[in-house]
Amino acid sequence: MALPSKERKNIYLFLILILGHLILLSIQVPLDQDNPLLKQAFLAVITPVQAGLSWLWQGIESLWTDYIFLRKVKSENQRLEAENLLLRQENLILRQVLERLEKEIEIKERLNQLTSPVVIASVIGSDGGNIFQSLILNRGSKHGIKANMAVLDPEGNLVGRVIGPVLPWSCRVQLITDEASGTAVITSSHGISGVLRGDGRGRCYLDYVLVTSPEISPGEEITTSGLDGLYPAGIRVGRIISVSIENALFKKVEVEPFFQINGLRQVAIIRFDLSRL
Amino acid sequence: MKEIRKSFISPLIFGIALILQILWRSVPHSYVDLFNFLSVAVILLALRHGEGAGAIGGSVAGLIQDSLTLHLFGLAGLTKTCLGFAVGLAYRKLNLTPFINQLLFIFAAGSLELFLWAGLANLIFTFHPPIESGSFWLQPLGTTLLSGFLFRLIKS
Repeated sequence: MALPSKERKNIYLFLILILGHLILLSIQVPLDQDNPLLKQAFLAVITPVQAGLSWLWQGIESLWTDYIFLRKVKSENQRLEAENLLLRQENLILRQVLERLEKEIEIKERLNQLTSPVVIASVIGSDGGNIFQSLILNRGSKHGIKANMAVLDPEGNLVGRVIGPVLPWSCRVQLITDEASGTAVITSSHGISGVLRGDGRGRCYLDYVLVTSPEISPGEEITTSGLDGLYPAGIRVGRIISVSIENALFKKVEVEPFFQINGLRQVAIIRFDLSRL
Repeated sequence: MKEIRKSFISPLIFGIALILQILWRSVPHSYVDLFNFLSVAVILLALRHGEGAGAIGGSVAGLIQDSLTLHLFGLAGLTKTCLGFAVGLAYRKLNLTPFINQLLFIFAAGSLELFLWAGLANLIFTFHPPIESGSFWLQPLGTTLLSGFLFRLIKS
C-alpha cells in the first residue's frame, strides 16, 4: 500500500535529518579536531542569551539576599576593609622586599605582569551532557582571556583550563574531571610526579605511577607540578583517596578534587604565566 | 486572530524551554539532569504538529544541547530527531487519546532517547554520560510528567 504524499515527505525529511547528523558526527572523528563551525555558531548565539539570563537571575537572587542580609553587610564590610588594609600593607612590604632583591628594570617588568592578573568570572552554564566535563563562563577574549589559562575556584583550588574557541564575551573551561583532560601533578610528601586524568564522574586518577615508586598513602595532597607547561606549579588539586595495584607496571591512584562542581558560581581565571615569575 | 495566536504557541514553547534549560543548568547542581526542557519542547511540538515538525524541532533542540557540550556535536541532535519523529508518528497512528496512554508512550519515548544517547556516547564515542547520577535516570519520568501536564494544558 502506497503511503500518502505528506507521510512520505515526512519520512524523507526524517532520513535527511538523520543523515545530516551522522555526517556531522562522522567528521568529528577523531575527536581531537577543532570544533565544527556550526557548533561555534550555535555557541555564539546561545552564550549571550545564557549570560543575560544568568545575570538577570543572579540580580533577582542578590536583590533578595541583599534585603535579607542587609544588617550583616555593614559588619562584613568593616571586616573586609580591615582585611583589605592589611593585604595592602603586606603587598607594599613584599614589593619593597622584592625591589631590594632584584634589579629595578626586571622588577618593573614583572610587576607590570601582575597588573590585573586575575579575572573573576561567573559560571553561566554547565555542560549540556555531563556536568563533570566543562563550564561556560561570562568572560571572553574582550577581557583578555585566551586558551589554556588556568581557572581556580574561590578557595584557590584548580578547576581546569580555558579551551578554544574563546568567544568575545564567553569562554569554555575544560574541567580536570573531564576524561580528556591531563594535568601534570606532584604528590606533597614524596614528590612523585604523574598525570592526573578525570573519569567524567567527578573523580580523577593519577596515571603513570610506577609500582616501584615510593609508598603513596590515602590522604596525601597533590598539587600541580608545572611540567605540562599549562598550569603553574603549586596549585592545590586534590587529595588521594585510594591506592591499589592496577597492573604489573603501574599503581591505580584515585584522587578526589578539592573543587566542588555543585554550586560553583564564581571562578578566577589566571591571566598571566605564573611559571615565568 | 485565534489562528495567529495558535501559531505562536509552538515557538513560544520552544523559547520558554530554552530559557528554562539555560537557567536550570546555569549553575551546576545535583539535580541538573532531572529535567530536559528541550526534550519536553520536542515532544509537545511533535504531539501538536506531527512527525515532520517533531523531527525538525528535535534537530534544532538537539544541536542547541550539543553546542553546550564539550565533546560531541550532533549526538543529541540525532537522538532528539528520532524522539520528535517517533512521538509524532505514534501519536497519529496509535490510539493515544487516553491520558494514561499518552504518559506511558512519552515515558517509553523519553527513556528510549536517553538510552540511545547514553549508549552511543558510551559505546561508540567512549565518553561517559553521568549514569551514576540518580537524577539522570529520573529524566524520562520528569520529561513525561512535564510533557503530559503541559500537553493537557495546551489542549484544554
